[in-house]
Amino acid sequence: MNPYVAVPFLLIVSLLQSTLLPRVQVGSVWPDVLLLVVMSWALLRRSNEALSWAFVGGIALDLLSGGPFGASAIGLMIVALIAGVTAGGVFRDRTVLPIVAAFVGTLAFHGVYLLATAFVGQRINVLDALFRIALPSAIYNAALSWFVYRVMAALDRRIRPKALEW
Amino acid sequence: MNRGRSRAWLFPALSVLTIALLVLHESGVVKPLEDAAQIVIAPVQRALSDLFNGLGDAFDVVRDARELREDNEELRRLNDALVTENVRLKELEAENVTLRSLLNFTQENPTVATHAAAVIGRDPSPYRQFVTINAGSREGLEPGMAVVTAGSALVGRVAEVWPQSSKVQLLTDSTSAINVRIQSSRVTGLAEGQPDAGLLMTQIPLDGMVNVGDIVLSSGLGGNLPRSLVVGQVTEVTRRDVDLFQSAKLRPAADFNRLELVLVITNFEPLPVEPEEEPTSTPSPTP
Repeated sequence: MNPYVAVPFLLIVSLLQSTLLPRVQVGSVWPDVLLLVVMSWALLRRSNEALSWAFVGGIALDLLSGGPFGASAIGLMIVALIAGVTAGGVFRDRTVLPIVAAFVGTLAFHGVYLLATAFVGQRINVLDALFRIALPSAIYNAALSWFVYRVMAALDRRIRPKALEW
Repeated sequence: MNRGRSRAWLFPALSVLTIALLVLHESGVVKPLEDAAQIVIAPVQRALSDLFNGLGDAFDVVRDARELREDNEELRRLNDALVTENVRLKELEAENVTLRSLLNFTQENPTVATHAAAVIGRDPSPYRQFVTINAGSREGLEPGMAVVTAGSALVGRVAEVWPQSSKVQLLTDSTSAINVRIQSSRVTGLAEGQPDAGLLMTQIPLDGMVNVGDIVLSSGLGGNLPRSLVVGQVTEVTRRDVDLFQSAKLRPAADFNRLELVLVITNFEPLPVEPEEEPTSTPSPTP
């Protein structure tokens, strides 16, 4: 996707993450749409584009957050890598693939985020974080992943250059 | 082939860049850039927040639909009886609005200077409990200032300030800890945020009197926050003889999920905390 379109798109998704999505909170968590968007793009394109999206979107999230700066960016880049590897690996079924990738990717994202939090000396109880936030987030994201993946797949079909016909 | 090779360098390069940004952020070098970014982000964030306030209300209505239906039946019956008083009530309502605006926090606390601000965003991470407000250094806000609701319920402290907006750390953030005391028994402790956005009062002496329903106020100890701001109410007490201290779960006085407007206390000066200086009064021995 053209960076002039992709960057504003990612900024808007990040802003939605801090304004709209906390309103659909269930328990202590709400859907991480930016993570699902990055993951879907990595599954669809398997390219460096998803890594760049993860970096730009992650930095935007970090600007809006009180957490350690860079934690979301690194976390999302790991998600993009995992999704890229998964897409080329054993999970060929495109129905199950986004769900598995969202679940695993969310857990990886939270793992990286907690490591970054510990790195800058902020105290978070890891067991509490795992069972009250990371696991419910992974389930919530997995539940929404197929829908977000379909939307991104439609976007991908729309903007992907058509093959030349001779 | 090319794709695989370029992916190999992109991830390490972006990782190094991110870590560099983390270090620069911690050292404050990129603060001007962050300020500039916030100048762009804050108005968009506020516009989106205003837009979604309406949607949020709709979401709440759906969630509370059953309760609202029951209330509606009851209100319908009451309404029939109140029709004849409608004109008088409208007059009272108008008067009530005026009185409400007068009976605000500032008038109850004439010595306290405040600045009102709207909440325009929440922390996108579920681990952190921060909100963004639409007032910043231009309005005289500084890090450390206390943030309250109109009912003098403590919300948190200003953590970071930009020209047009600020980040407020809520009491329930897992790295927040403030000195508090029980209003009735004067027992002191610490109100600490929890990872699940709860609030726990710790460091309560075993012989301290704590009961469910007790009101908890800021104690002012440490000099960081004004005293007697309402923090919450005790909902559960945990006391074990093997522990050195009791603890108590608190229900925060402010409803953090529905925060829309807050007041920042701008004229409270935290006591400066300085490291102990080397004793200088003793003259050095002369040769």
